Amino acid sequence: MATGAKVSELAPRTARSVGGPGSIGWLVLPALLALCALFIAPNFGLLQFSFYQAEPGRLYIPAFTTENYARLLTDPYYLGIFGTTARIGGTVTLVCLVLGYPVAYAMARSGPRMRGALMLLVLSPMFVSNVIRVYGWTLLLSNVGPLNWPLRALGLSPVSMLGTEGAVIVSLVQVLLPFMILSLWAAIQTIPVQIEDAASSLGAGPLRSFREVVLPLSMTGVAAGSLFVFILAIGAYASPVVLGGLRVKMILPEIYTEFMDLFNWPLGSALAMVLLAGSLVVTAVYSGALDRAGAGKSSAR
Amino acid sequence: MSTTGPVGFLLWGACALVGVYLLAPILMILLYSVNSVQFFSFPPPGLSLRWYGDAVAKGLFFGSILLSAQIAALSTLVALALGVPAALALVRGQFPGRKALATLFLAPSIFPAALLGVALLLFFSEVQRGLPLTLAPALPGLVLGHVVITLPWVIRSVSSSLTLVDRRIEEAAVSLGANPPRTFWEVTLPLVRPGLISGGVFAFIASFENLELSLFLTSSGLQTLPMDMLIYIQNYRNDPAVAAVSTMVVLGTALAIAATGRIVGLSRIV
Repeated sequence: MATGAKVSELAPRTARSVGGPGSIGWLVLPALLALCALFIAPNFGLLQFSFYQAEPGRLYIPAFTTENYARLLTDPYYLGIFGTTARIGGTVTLVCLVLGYPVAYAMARSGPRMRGALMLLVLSPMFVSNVIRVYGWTLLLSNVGPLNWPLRALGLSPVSMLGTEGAVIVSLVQVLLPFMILSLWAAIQTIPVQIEDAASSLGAGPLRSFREVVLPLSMTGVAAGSLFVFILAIGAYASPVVLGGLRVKMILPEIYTEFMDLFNWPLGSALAMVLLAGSLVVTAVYSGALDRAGAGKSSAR
Repeated sequence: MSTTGPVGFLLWGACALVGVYLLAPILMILLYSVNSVQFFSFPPPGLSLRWYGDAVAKGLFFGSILLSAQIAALSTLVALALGVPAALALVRGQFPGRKALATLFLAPSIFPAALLGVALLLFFSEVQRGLPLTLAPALPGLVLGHVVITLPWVIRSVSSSLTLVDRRIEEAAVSLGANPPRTFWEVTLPLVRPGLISGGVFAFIASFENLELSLFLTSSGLQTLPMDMLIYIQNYRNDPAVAAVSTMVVLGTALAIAATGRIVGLSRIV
């Protein structure tokens, strides 16, 4: 009894000393400081530079101007780049959604062994460098590659796929599918399988049960996955440069050209800000949609 | 929907197709690396391992492999030093904004790395004006930049390991007279070892394979492996030796993941 009393006396103090309320929160500070210095502050630097003046022969002149933005928003060359980037981002997101959903669903509804195998398959491309993947796609899509092999075997002329928007989309989908599948899986696995059983016992076919039960309940995953994929797709570099060639122009290769070839840092920064602003707007729209989906979900219950 | 019957058949069919799609480009590299002639064609006219010997004899990408390994090792060490205490605070501490901070720490993994790279180029070029050292393009800038992408991996793995630790074991250590630092070193740290190992391995891989972050932080004399490979394939598209190096890197990565799975259990890494 005496020891019992002693332990209960000790308990509150030990809880505090191994990290109770407030005592170890400060341990987050070094990492937070590093993140502020290396992730948040640099983006404000980008904002600052985007208002500097460009001058040939110098990287920039630190004097305020809105000229860079005016040029980006009126020059058809840059407007074309924004259009291509948004179109590719949208298409990649849709394709990822359509291809990713069945895999995420199978992953959520299978046993632990099968789920582990599927998860490893889905994650595996994430550990291969984008350069290697893009190089693989140049081989796959080339005139002498396996996709053109049936045509060549039949004596037909091959379809040239390199240097097209399609090639960029196909490779980006492969790069970004894991993000979509993981987001969808996280949402689908929270839907109890009994809800689907109830729908089918009430006479709903698989398609109706999917459209009216599973899909609405997984909207948070759809929104999150679409957001991640879209943001990462419009920020792509290797796919448009290697597979799009000179014809498919996206924002990041253009930023690279402005910075490293033309040495126009202010215009490059303004381009980066357009990309960042676009990502933030899409994030805001999607979180609005997520909130509405969340509200719809709770009212349905 | 169900996973059996005709619907299940369609579902598993779709999974198989997606699996082929995900692995196809990597298999193509493997095929090119073992084909017998220099110019790629499908199906390959014959098989040969000579491109591996060729790549090794030429010392292809040798310097950039060393640089990338150095950057990956250093940035992983920094990420562990910052991330382990942060994970401890995020899992065990109770302070306002803890959830928002946890989200913020994972944000770099869904942020275009090239955009971060260009922001860091400006930032480093401003900061280094008052300092006697070069941050970009140089090793320190590359390591600091890569910390941003290695940190989420460490925090994610160590946090999930920490949530599994039985608090009573630590409380027992404290009631037996161990002070908090000693409890941390001798009890908590060994218990989160799986998280440390998988977090460290994946952080290293994430840094080693990353192309986009280094785009703006490297120079012609200082190239990471992915940058070096990108420039090489843009100049010489038909060199199976590149495919051989790529295959070796992919196999090395797969081995590292398999070894991690053996040490910490496969379920812990995925």
